[in-house]
Amino acid sequence: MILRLIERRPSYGYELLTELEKTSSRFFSLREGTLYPILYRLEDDGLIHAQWSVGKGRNTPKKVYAITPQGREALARLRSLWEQFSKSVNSILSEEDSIP
Amino acid sequence: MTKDQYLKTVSAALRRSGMKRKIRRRLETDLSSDFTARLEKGESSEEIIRTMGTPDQLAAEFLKENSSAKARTPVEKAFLISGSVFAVITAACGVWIGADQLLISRFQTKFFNPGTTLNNTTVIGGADGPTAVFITVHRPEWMIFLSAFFLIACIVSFILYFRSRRNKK
Repeated sequence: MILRLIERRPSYGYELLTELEKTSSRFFSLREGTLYPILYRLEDDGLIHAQWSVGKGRNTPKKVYAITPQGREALARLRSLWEQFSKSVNSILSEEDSIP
Repeated sequence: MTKDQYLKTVSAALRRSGMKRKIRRRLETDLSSDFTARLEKGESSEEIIRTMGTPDQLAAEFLKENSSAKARTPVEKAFLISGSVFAVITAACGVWIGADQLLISRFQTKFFNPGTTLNNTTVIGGADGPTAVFITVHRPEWMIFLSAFFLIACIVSFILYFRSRRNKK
């Protein structure tokens, strides 16, 4: 999910938190202490990289995370995996109970 | 509390938690950047601090999600250093005992017939009659006990160190 949000737009930490909360209708509500370990794992695996954005006007430069080409490939694989997983789970859950 | 005060407290809490320095610096940079960005968006310091959590909460949450971020605590460092020191002392005692025994056996073969049992006193004969030569042989029993003590201390230190690391995970 974090990777997908970063793919849509390079973002800094707090932006990702607010975007995640907004798009999940407050279902996923994380804090910095939970978000940053995820970002650092993604960065150490080469799926995202950090860069300093140029400050506009009076705004100071911010540290933003952007997706890498490997990140895009990984995201595509994970998406496919999730689609299979959710399809299988939905299929099982929506099965009618068998009549004994 | 201002941004700088909060970030200083966070930094101290992260150090206390035993977080590795490299990861701590990375997190401090990100938190500072986020804090500044939120201030520029018009949020107050109090609101930002409320949502980020107290410094200890923040450190605990981070380490819960990233257990490999924790470095050795001062206690663990003490166990590791004491274990290593005891290991060196034990090895030194062992070498000393070994060298001692080697010197004695060399002395023995040089001055006495092979097979002579080592006593603390030996009598050799001279041209003008027997001459008693008292040889005091240093028996390193106390060294053996000392090296056994340091060996046990070394083993205990490493056991405590590994238990401490295992309990942390």
